[in-house]
Amino acid sequence: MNRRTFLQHSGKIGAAALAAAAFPKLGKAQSRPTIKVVGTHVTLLEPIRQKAEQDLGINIEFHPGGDAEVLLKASTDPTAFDLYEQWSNSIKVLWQAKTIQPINTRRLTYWEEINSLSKTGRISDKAKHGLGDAPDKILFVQSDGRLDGSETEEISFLPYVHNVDSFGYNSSVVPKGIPYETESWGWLLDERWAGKVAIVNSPEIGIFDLALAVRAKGLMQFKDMGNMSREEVDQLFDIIIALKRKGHFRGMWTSVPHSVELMATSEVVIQSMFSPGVSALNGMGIPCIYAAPKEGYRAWHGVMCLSRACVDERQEAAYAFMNWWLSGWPGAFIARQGYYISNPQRSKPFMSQAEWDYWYEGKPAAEPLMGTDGKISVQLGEVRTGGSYLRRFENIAVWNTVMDTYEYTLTKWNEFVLA
Amino acid sequence: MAVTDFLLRTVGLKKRIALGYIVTGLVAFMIALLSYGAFTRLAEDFRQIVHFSRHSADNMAFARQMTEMQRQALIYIYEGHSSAGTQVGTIYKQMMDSILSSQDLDRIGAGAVVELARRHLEAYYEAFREVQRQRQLQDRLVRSEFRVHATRAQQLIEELTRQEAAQPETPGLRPPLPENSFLSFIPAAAPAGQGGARPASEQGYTEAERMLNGAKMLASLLQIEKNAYRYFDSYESSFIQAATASLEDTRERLQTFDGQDKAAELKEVLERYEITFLEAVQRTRGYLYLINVVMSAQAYETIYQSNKLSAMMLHETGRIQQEVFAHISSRQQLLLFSTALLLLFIALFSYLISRSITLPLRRLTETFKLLSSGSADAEIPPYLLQDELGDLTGSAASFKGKNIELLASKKELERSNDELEQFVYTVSHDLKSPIVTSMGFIGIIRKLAAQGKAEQAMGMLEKVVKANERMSQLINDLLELSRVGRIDMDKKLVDLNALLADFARSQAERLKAATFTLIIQPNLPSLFANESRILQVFENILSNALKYVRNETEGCRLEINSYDDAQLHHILCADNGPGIAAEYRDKVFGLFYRLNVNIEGTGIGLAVAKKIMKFHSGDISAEARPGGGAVFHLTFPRAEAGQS
Repeated sequence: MNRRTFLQHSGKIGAAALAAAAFPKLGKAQSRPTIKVVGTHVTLLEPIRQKAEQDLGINIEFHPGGDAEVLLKASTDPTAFDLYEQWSNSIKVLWQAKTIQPINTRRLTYWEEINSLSKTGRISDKAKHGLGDAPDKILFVQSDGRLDGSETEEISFLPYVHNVDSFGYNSSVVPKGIPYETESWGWLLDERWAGKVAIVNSPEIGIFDLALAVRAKGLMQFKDMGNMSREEVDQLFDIIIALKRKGHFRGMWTSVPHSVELMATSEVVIQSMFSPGVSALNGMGIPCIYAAPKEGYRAWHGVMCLSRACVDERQEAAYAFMNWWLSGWPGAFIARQGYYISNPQRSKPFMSQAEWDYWYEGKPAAEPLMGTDGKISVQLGEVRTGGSYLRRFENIAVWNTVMDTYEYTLTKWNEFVLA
Repeated sequence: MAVTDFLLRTVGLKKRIALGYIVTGLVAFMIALLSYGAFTRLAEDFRQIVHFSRHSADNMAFARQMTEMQRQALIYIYEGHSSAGTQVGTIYKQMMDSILSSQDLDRIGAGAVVELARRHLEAYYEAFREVQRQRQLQDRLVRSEFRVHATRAQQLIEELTRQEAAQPETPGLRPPLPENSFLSFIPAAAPAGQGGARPASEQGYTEAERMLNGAKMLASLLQIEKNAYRYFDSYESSFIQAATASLEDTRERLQTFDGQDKAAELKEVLERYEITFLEAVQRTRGYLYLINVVMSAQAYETIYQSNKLSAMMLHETGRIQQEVFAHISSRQQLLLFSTALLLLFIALFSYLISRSITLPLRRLTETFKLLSSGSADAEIPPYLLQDELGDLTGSAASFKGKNIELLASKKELERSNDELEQFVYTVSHDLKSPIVTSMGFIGIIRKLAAQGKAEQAMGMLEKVVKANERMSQLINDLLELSRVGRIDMDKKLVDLNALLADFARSQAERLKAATFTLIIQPNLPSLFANESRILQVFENILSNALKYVRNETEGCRLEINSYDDAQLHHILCADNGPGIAAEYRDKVFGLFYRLNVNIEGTGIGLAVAKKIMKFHSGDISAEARPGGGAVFHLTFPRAEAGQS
């Protein structure tokens, strides 16, 4: 056992010990509680469920579904779930719906390890504070029930998985750009790719891709892109609807496989993308580049929320599950899918140096790296686009957000989609 | 022409005519077959075009239906018309039927597109079903539960107020009222903590304050309902905040009534009221999201795939149209070319058939024309087959045979006539000479007799006698000539060696007297001939030799020899006399022709020999003998000799 593996092994043992210490009440529980977790396929993965059950000695039911489906379920029926895993843009809805309850940070074993991105909205001092609902803005529960950035002991969600999104382009058609220098959201509106552009079909996400593109092309400016006024929404949709009527957009993609299919069939050469879609296309031999736009990324933050109806033993189990998520192994697991965890140092011992260097440090892969499916997902020498975790999150343009004009944007979105 | 010759050699007339009809029929059948093939293909192409046109029409209707379905769905959502929701289901069923009927488009590679359209349409309708469910839930919450809670809350507030009015006022415990309490009887829905009810810690309210808070709670209740319905009408989220703020305000003011039973119940009702409202809000947002985002995207994808299908069908229809035009053009060309070729073939074949009929007929016609004009030289066209034309050719050959015979007869007749004329002339001339001589001497004798010179007259009389004797000899020879071929002409095999040996013996005295040598070479042939006539020929040749040959050096001589070739026996009678000049060699066979009139003779002997040789299908000619002398060359056909 060399030094590196020794440290890694020791780290794992330490983490496991900490994890065990984090769930004292469960050890005393007579029965084996069952918690229902509602969320998306991004984090509700069977290996995670099995590992959590094994580590925690509880029963865990995963109920994955589509974004809108699970949000509707969680926002209308707190008894439908104990824990809800989705994106930070769902927090306003859930908090307003009062179907979730505050989480007490004193019961979170690794609360202090959670980095500044989630607590202040900035990963470093020189980082941009992205527009829209940065996690800090909706994290802390104030005494009057509002959510704000002023630190309190109660939070609306457990910060855990997060990442940045941008657009992907087929470099066999679209000339390869320079990350952070020439790659721009404006490319989405480049006339050269007319008819071969797609946008994610999600108003609280896609609208920002379009807004960033419109702004990058100098077609309009926003007072606050993260919370557009009705007039700004009208102006934005006037521009993009006119473009759509000219045939600029191939359409909307409704799922990651759909986005993969669109580019794989050459119907699209540039589009909004999620990280797994890019990986899938690269696996198919299609040179899809995940851009690092000079205007900054559109970021998202995963949230784990506690149901208002989750009490007693199930609440204990839910807290245990939340603590388990930050205990190291899950963070390492989802790192292999390209996602980051809010306390990365805790996951480091569960990753090889090559994995850590590639996923977090932005260095070339020192060896072929496995994905969560056990297949090689990163080839030797490959470098993650956008660079390190730090660099990526220092360049956030906007966070996925449910704006005050949410309902209005829905009707405009309908107009845009069917234009 | 080779084909015509082949037909003439191998195919009979009737078969040729039948073959012509059969081939023409076959060609007509082939043209019909080609036309049938061309029209069948065209019909199939046309069916394809009709098929795609129908699908295109369906597809256009499909896009229209999709748009209409989304319109009806929006009417259902925003106006709440249930008939619009029913209409969405009806249109969906029609569209699914249309998709199912498009499954056969897989063969143009549109299967995946149809499948995608089906999947998106199903997803659309599934989302709409969820929208209906959410809309119904929201409707139930808003129209039923929401009102129930609002009404119950109002009742409870009114009851609390009435109870308060019935209780006596307790002075001295009156805390100060909020600053804006009297500014408005019905306060706006202000957020909690912004000048609403007094904090819960401040207890000991006066009756007036409770009455005022009760009134304000009623006003807030009204604001909650008002803002809620404003939200459900406008979907403006600020009304949610206003409604929840009013709810919070109501709760805080309710603290004025803490400790009362109705207050606790009102608190629960307000809780349920808020939950109902917030659930209705979320369900509203849910179906708004579904219809504006999920359904619209599925509708767009369905329409996109439908348009893609239309484009594919348009492309396929265009391709088929091009194919059809290409097929029409190629079939036209093929049909035209084939028909022209086949007609050319028919023309050529008809020409060959007619030529195979007319050519021998024309040849035969020409032949018959010649034959009818008496030609014996007319060529009989070769025709080997035993058919009608073969019979006709046989008839022509017979006709020609008759003509040849007739011509031969005619020539013979002419020759006979010529001979007769010559004969009459010669006879009359040669017979006239002794008569003239006799008449001259008779005249002299008459004069001498008149003068009384009887003796001299008698002397003249002898000359008259001689002239008459000569005339008698001429008449005998002519008689002999006329007998040749008519009298005593039976033939038999004659051994020339024996015959001429006898002849030599019979002429021995005569030859001796004339010191003339007759040499007969051995191995002479045997001939099928009339013995006496043949002997007559040799007698005449020998007589001429005796008269004309005078050769003091070698002695007079006649040598008879022979040789044979494939067809003829050649007999050569060569003398060593003065020979016959070339210009006289034919003339010597003429009647009464004599080379030397001073030599006794009638000039009939060689003419007789010529006639005898003709009678034997042979000939006689005079030739020069090498070294001087004449050779009489006799030829006899060998076949005739072989007849024995």
